[in-house]
Amino acid sequence: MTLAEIYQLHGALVYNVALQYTQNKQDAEEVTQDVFVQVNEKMAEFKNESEMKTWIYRISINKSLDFLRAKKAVKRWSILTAKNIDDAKGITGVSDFNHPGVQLEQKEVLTFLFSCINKLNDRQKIALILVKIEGVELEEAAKIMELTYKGIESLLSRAKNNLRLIIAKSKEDEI
Amino acid sequence: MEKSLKLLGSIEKVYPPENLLLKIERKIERAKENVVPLTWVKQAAAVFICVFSLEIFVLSNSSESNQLTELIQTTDNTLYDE
Repeated sequence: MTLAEIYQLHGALVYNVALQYTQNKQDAEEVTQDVFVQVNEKMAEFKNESEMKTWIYRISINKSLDFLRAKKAVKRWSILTAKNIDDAKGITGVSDFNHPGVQLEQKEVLTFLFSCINKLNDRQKIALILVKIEGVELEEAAKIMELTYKGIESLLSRAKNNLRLIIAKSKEDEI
Repeated sequence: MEKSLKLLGSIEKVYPPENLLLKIERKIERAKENVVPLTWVKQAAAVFICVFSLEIFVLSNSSESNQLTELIQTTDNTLYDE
């Protein structure tokens, strides 16, 4: 299979996964590029298309998380090097939520929801995004995350509980 | 909570921008240009090892003659010929 063929099959999948993590078009494009650069290096190793899809999901998730960590580090540095406190506050206050899959009327609610999801630990975030946003079946999600079926069920349950607590706390802090 | 999860499920899937594949191919080409060929790396390593070995050989052989030179110098305390 050529890279172009793989992109035809899985390009949208990668882009959408990246969007769920970055919530921003430009960042998702960058992550998608990084994913396919890696796919290009290793694609000859895969003969089975379903194995490749699982692997591409994993790379997409890992590259998205790497991107977010790097972005957080850059933001932290910008805050540390800000000339005054107002500049620093400006940097922390900027929201770059620009998710094209979100309807305008739902933007505010989903921006808030995503800000809560971003506070979950990585594994819970991955499970929640895969199952509840990407709509992946539990069995497939378990394969992607290299867990048993019970394992993914339990992880998802903990993710939902923690998300509930984070949402409640965020609403309290706003009041 | 269920309402929030239902809302997450309503997020639409979108198509990536049309020129994204082109950007990916360009990125791959740029990455190839920056890679140093392995033969060059091996040759540079071989040259470095040779030069380093030669230097150790020269230093270890010259240590005896250096001691002799130092001995001669210590016996001559005059600043200038009288």
